[in-house]
Amino acid sequence: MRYGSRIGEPTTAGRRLKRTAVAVLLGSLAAAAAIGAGTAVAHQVSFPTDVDVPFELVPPSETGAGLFAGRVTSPRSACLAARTVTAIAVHDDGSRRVVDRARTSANGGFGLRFDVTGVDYGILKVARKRFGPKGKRHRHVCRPARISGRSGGGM
Amino acid sequence: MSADPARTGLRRAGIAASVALLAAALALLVVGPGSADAHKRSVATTILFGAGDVTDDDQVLFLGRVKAPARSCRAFRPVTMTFVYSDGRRRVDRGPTSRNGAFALLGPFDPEPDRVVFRAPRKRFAPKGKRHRHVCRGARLVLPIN
Repeated sequence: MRYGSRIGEPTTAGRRLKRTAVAVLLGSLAAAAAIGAGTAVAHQVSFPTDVDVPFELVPPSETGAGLFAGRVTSPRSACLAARTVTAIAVHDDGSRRVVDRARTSANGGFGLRFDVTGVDYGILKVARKRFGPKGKRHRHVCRPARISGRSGGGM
Repeated sequence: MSADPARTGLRRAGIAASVALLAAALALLVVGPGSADAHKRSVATTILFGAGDVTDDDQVLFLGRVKAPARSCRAFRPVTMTFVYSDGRRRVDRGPTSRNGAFALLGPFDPEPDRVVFRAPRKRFAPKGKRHRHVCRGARLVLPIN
């Protein structure tokens, strides 16, 4: 009397089981690929940032501390608040120095104050910001921004 | 039984020492508040208005600065901007000052408020747990519109 089959000789039930397993595996792989491709296209992970300095209060003699009002804009509201803005002054002799640093308000506004004496032009840098769920896979990024300009000429 | 002169002297010396200690404690109590007054614990803060303008997308942007003798009281102070209407008030924006004390806050200017109130709350700037904690006093600026 023989029970089962010989080693290496599959039974009918075993073959059926194997076919079902292969079909399920292929199906799930195809579904995962389809969902993955779909989200990759629809899911935007990085957002542009723009920075503007609508007005400034510079003393008439262009000596002393000037006040600058700036604004960060982005299509994504999460990219407006708490962005780090660095003001770099480039002097007439070519030297550059970080003169002020700010964080944007909830609506994207920021103010800067620095001595404009001997400054040729200024550079504003808005740092990249990561937001979204914690963890490495699903992080979203607000792209950095940078502008430069002369005081009085609008940055 | 008569008292031992040596023991009486010792007792007198003990009483004198206790009185001296009490006097010293009293003196400390009197001098203490004086020295606390001499040590400046709170720093005045003022909010100065710089300029304001309406942007292209009908938002109003206000620029100002926080003035204080201590750098810790100027840098990274949170400032709130509230619009006051005849029938209520609304907090429009909140943001920290820059390292040098400048701030710019913006919000929708429609409907136009009666007043704009800027407020910088009180801030502690000494390490927590230390006895001589320093405080930047809170400041408020009311800006009437029209």
